Amino acid sequence: MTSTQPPHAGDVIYTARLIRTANPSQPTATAIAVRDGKVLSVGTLEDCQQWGITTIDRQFEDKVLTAGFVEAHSHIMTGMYSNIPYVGWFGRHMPDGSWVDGVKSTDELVQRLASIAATTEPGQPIVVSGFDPIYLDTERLSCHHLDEATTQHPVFVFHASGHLATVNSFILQKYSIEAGHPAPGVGFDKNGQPNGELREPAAMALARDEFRLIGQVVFSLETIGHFANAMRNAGITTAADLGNNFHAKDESLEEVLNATRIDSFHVRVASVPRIIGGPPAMHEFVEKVQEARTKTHDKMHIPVVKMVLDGSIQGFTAVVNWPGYFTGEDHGLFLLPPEQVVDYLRPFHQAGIGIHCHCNGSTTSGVFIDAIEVLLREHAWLDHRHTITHAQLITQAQMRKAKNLGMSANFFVNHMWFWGEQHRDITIGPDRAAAMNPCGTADRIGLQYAFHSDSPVTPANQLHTMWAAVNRATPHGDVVGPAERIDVNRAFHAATIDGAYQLHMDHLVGSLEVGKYADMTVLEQDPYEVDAMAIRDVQVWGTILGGVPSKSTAQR
Amino acid sequence: MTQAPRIPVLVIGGYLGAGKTTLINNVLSSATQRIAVVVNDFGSVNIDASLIKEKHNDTIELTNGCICCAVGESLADVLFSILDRTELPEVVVIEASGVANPAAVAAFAHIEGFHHLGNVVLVDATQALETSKDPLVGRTFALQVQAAHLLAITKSDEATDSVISEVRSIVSSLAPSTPLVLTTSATLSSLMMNLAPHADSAVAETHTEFSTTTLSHVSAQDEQQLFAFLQNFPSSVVRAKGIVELANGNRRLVQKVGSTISISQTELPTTGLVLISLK
Ligand SMILES: [Zn+2]
Repeated sequence: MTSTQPPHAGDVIYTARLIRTANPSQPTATAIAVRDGKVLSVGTLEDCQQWGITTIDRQFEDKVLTAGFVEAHSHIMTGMYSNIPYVGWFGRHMPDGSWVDGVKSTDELVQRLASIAATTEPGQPIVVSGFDPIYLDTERLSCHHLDEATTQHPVFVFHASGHLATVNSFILQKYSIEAGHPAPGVGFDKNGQPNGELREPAAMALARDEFRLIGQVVFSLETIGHFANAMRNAGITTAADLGNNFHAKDESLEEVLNATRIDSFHVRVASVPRIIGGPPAMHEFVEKVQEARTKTHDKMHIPVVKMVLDGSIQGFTAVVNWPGYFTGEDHGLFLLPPEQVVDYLRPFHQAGIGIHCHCNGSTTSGVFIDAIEVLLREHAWLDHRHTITHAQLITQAQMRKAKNLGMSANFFVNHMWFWGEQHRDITIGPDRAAAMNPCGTADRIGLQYAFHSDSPVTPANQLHTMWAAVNRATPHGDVVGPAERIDVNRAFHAATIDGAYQLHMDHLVGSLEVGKYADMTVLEQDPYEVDAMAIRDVQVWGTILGGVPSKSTAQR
Repeated sequence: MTQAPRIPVLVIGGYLGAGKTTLINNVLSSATQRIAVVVNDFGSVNIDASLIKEKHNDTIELTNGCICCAVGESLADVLFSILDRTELPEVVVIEASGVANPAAVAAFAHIEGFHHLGNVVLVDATQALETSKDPLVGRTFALQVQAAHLLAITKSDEATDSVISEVRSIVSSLAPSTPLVLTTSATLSSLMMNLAPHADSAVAETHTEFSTTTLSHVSAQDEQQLFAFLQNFPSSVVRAKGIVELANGNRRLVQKVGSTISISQTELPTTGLVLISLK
């Protein structure tokens, strides 16, 4: 049979070696028809042709198309590495697609800085980011190492942890950071001389100009454009900017709406406002969000809001249940008073706005789940999908309760690779490390979950999160928590439709179903067919967003 | 090193509900200095900012602290922007959030152009017993108390004497050498602003006006603590006088003239402390 509907301009059918739809009722296909940016038909070429479409694009015939990856917790700041050189231990793609090898020693860092200095006017700042000494067995970085790179430039090395910077002697002199400086966080050597370490933003801010430069880059519109490139290059078609303030000011909202609207912006953004201000300000906050929602477009949505309740496990600032941290001092603190969480969230819950709450520690997950229980007793809303984001140390009892309340979890499963060994050996010990980001248990309990990268904390790449969830492998070849591993099919859904669900966007994105956006990830191999340990090595050709292909600029 | 004037920074801390908003409003309505108030949202704001804004337009609200990565618009940026102004404030008052560690907030006060005057931490007499033992926030409470340079028990009129003395002992066991006052918000605000010198106090000789502040309930663990408390007053406090009770129940007559401090035994009833400062 053929459709009696007339064709539309731009109708196209893409054929592929295989299409993975993330739609369990029709998991695979070989052709997909696109009309007005949406999926018109998915199945065989013959199925699609019944719509009277004559344009067949065969450029992906030897490739694998999948439902576009959804990244439900990342940050626009991802784009900053275009302007601030990356010097981390793990090699990484930059937003423009260039590959930067990891820095594996202090000497390598010095060489990297020296080559930047060679092309930088004397006196101009050299600010680099992502330095990760956790895997280095070389001497602790000090101003003396950096002085070997240059004495003619202020050098500011921002560490991956976000809690430390190391600066050179040029900076120490520029800001009169001398022996006996009173600011907490200034590091000294055993002779009482500053060693170049500036701990926490308060001390980093002593290096005024260089510190400010980072902030300027992070919040520039240019960075938003780089963010879109980084996401496209990773095959991501919908990415959340989890925790911003764009909705608050008309001008900033307008700027972001325009920046995301242009054709070269190749990702759909879930722009997620971060809850700030006290509980009395929440009603106005809700109104602002609702007003901002009326201005959004196809590529920018404001689907949920975000709250932050604690810090990080590796920073010992997550709030963790008894018996607390394995080694190291417990710095766990709530970022909002726990007894006020219900008051903060009530206006959002009542207005039907979903909430993603940053909870790394088990105590914080418990506080958030309990708050949602209170809100649900007060006000019925069965489809809230309130999400515990990170949820790294969530307990089994918490998961059962969260499931019963209709909540979701967004696991930071990349941690198993990037910090799994540190969690096992240092932060929380082997047993709780094995139960971190517990995808297996969540499946056994029936708790809905997705994966995220928290980019730029770890690189945005859903093939990597899938790989981490399937293998839970560490850099030294160990497996942390084998019972929490899941299969590739489950991981694929967590990287696509499950994230869309948490963002209340599963009617729009996350799977290839008739009527949804024609958003696809274009892969050179099928992640289901490759060896489990090779899932992260599957190459991304690029994406198709609303039916429009966009090739990755990533080089390797 | 530049010798530009450094703007003193006072940090007000204390757990949720301890009276920080009231205190800040008191400061804004009564102080004679030009004040910039920073409502710290590096985590949260437990304060109705609009209430502050009504009283004084020089209030800065932090809006976009980034927890994940620790960069971005932060308290540092707010302080930098204060230095960019044509008319500099004479004092910066930062309100730490109800769960913040005031020491972490105060760490920013060492940025060039500022100097850290101290942390005033408020303890709610009606809530402190519960908060200090709370499994979720007990440690937050302790860190706040330990970060104080001056502790003030607020809402004492709403608590019984026995509760107040229990609060007092919890607080002094956490921070045995920190001066502790029991006072109203209004009194505390004038005390604080007396601690903060006027920008031109270097030319004190030309001043003819003085202000008087009464601290109605000053207590101290022992003489050493009392001495330290008096010593910490800035040079703008030209005189202090009164009778103060020590922890063991004995009383001391206290006098401070300029930098000379005298402490002597007395049988007279406590009077609190009268401070005279340059206006
Ligand atoms: Zn994040």
